[in-house]
Amino acid sequence: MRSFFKAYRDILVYHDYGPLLLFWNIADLANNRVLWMSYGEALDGGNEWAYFQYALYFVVALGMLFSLPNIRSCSRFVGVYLMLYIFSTTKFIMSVMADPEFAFGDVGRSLVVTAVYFTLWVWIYVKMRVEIMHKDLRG
Amino acid sequence: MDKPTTTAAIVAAVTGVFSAGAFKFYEFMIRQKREVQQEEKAEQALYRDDLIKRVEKLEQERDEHLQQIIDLMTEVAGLKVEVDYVKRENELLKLKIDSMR
Repeated sequence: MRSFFKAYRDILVYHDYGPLLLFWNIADLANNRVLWMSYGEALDGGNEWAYFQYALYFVVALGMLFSLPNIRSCSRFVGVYLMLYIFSTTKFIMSVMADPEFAFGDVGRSLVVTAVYFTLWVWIYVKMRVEIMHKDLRG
Repeated sequence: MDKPTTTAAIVAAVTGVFSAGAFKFYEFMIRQKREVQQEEKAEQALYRDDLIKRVEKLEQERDEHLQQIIDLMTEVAGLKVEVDYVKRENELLKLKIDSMR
């Protein structure tokens, strides 16, 4: 049983994030609302801020995708993505707290999913930073 | 900006700053650890180099001593032959003296 959990720990510690980041980026870009919704539609629905937020996510995801071979630049984009993630999650929680009608689904489920994704991004970011640090130390 | 947006921006900024600080601290700890390891490695390398020098010197001395032993053995062999001849000559002289009596 212990070796079973150790195998998962080893996956998290030693396996690379590159392919995951590549596929995640492609999926994230394809799934972004900016591609499927015009600004006019967002404006009509009163969601222009959400649209800007998605546009920012789109730009950062594009930056990640194109800077994937350069770990330093890519880690900066991942950092910005994380900041955006924290920002939008906090905003969501604040809005739900202010107005429970704001969320039109299961808030708990949304937050659990967000927490899992957040852990994923933190894991990728930490792995990148540690790799950069070891590269710097090696000279 | 409305209140949730402002709060979210502040939370994101504060988290970013604290995370960066925490990572800098982690980096500092790793650097310190690496420096200590490098110092230990350098000390070990120094000790190893000293041992290599000592072994080289001892091997050189051993070669010199081996050559000296070989020279001595050659000399001893020559002296043995000489002693044999002298012994034989001595025996002959003894016989000559005996015959003259």
